[in-house]
Amino acid sequence: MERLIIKESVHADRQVPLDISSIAGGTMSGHFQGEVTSTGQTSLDMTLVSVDVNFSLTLTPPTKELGREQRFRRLADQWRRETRHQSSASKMAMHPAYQQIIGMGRDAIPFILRELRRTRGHWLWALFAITGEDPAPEGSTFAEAVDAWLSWGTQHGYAPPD
Amino acid sequence: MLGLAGERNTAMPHLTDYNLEEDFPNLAVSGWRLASEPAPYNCIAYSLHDTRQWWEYGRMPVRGYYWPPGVRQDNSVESWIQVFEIHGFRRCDRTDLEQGFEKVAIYVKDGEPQHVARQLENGVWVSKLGPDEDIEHNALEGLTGEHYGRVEIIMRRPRT
Repeated sequence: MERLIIKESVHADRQVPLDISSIAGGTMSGHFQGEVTSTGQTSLDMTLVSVDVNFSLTLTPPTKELGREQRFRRLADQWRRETRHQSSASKMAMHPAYQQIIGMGRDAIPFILRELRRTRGHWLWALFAITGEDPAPEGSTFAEAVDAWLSWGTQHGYAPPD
Repeated sequence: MLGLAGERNTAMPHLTDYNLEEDFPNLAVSGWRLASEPAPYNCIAYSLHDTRQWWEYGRMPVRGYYWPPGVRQDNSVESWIQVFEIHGFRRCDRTDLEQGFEKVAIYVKDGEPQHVARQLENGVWVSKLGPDEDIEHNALEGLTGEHYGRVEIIMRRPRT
């Protein structure tokens, strides 16, 4: 059972509306009825007898838990912006934003493949790092390797998100 | 000579989503223009007329990258010089146009090569700027600065 933090004061023997915030970050509102064991100006000890709660739960993700796509977009834009004149693909892959994308794991694959299809950029290292696979034949040019990875995506059911 | 303040190739206005002169302010002084659409080769490849491959001096765990066999695979000035030597280039001291010779200029920053430009028969230089566009620029100084450092190596070979 989650710990509930009561935000509002209550009066004994009365049913009162309460706003209850749970530690999950959502809010609930409802009614409760309980036995008051003591009173005070700033605190109230109660034993909850029953609760009849009608609530709607709205969860707002903490800032650090951005949606996966939003996070990928932010990192990809940063990576592209900060490596746009780089002549080394290995240096590009070492960029912190690129490494964070790799850290997203398989969740990032659809977004990487969509970006690869759109830009035909240097996402091959990330795909290899996440999947452990390399579908490009030995001796492939970069363009041929990109095509191999796009085919790999289709074959593995990674339809890019719209 | 290319126009000053960026003689933009109006056939390809969409190539950059940023102002190149903010990254390379000297280009505004020396003159430049966009020359091609983004393509999967880098400056080393382009300086050796290869527009099909990305010449990668770093060791890549994934296929799709090329490095000449027998050349030390690291980002050292010596490795880059060796790449051009095996393609017939020799070091020289002059950047000006010499009839009958093709030249390349290697930019170095903090002891590491960052970029190489190639000289056309009319004396204009061409550069592939990372994964994106090619540009033509009147002077090597157009790309000196924060990103590429300065030109430290000039090499030439007989033009074929």
